[in-house]
Amino acid sequence: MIRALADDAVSGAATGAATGAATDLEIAALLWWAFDGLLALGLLGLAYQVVAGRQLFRSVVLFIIYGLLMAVAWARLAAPDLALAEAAIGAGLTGALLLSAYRNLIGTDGEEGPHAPITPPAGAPPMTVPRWAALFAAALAGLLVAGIGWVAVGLQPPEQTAGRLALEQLAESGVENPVTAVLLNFRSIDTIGEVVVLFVAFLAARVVAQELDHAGPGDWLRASQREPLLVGPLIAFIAPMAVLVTGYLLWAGGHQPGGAFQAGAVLAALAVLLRLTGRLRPRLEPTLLERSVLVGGVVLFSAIGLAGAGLAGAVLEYPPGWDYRLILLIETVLTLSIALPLALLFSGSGGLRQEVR
Amino acid sequence: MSQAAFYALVAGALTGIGIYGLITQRHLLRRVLAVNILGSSVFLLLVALARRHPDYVDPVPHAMVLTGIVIAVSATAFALVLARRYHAATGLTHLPEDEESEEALAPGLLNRRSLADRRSGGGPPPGQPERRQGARRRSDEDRRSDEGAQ
Repeated sequence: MIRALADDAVSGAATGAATGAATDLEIAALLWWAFDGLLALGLLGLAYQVVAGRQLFRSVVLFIIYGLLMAVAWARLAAPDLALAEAAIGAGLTGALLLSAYRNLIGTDGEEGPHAPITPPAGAPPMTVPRWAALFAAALAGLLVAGIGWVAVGLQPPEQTAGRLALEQLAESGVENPVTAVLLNFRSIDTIGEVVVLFVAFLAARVVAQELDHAGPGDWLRASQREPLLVGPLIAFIAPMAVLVTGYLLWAGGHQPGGAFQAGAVLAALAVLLRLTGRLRPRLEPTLLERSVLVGGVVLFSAIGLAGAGLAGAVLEYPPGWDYRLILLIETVLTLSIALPLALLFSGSGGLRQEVR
Repeated sequence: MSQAAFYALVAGALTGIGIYGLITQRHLLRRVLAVNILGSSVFLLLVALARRHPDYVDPVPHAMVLTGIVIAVSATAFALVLARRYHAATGLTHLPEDEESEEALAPGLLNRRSLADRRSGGGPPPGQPERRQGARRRSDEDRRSDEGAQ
């Protein structure tokens, strides 16, 4: 909607006479450009601080802020689905994973305290690659990507793109949100692949990880210490809200921004919170229920896809009239199948159990 | 210049920053951060390209990026687990290939020696066994409490 306003502003400015209204619109367009410019400056500055800042901890925190700004940029580019996903997954969950890894790699290390500069002291060779070579490679890569983007944007777009096709056939997909339609109907094979990748990452992490030595609760949760007073009420408030938001995002995905991925990320974030505050404790092996949730998304999605071969004439085709119901069913199971591996990846354990208090 | 073109240029600059960090930084966590910046710059390019059509927003790149975000977090999580395991096994936070300039880093000397011991087939590095036993002990405790709850 914001973008539509800006578009109106631009077209209004182009066609408008020298009336007061046209001037206002011109100013609005200018303001939006100023906003885009500031956003870009913020992204670039944060990105540089993330890769080259002096303190690692600061860089990790700035990366989370970078993710949030990126979400704003995507909202500006008319991609609200992605803005939601980036804020929840890219900034939120990745940030939690990074902070927990930071604590494991450095916070426990006596040699490098959290505030020690990680760049070598002056006079030492700072890196194995000469700076000019790194700058040259970076400039080359940057120019390549910028060049691709510049040329692709400038080209006359083809008349018939996959996206236009998807929008034209949106009515047949069973849902009204074009991104959900592409993810769960037109290109559902990609989505199956994605859930498989998530599952494989979880399995691989289980193979590599040391058992139950990750992301432990804070020191204040050790038996000898009491929990801060406000943690309990805060959890009591946030937990039901997070479940509500999960349900809403899942339901909204059919006709407006949202869907299984955003919903799953919110649910996983809740699990991370409960894990950090000791409400959930790690468990060595997943229970039968957890195992079925972990594979549930892939199994159900594949089963429905294969059934489509018999009932609808093609693999991953839904029987006519059943699109919306099946998509909703798949999305519900996918939400859980996305949230659980993400939560377990953070927890670094095979399963979770409720803490008996 | 259209908005899409502007953000495509920003994506190019972010790619440059990501590559720069990937090449110059040796700390594993920094490299994971740099790869994430790199990934998000490509996502930004795709989202900008989805915006280039005058009359509609292309949903296909959006779906691709949504898939990409989930895959990026999966890969990041796995990379971090690998880094932790590597750190637990060697005490290092960077890869041995990057050790050329190590002499200048006073704090790294001990770690480097411990890695050399490991390489030459010597005993476990000093300081390590104690911590790893500690880790195992914690794990055993957890295991016991785990069984107790079942």
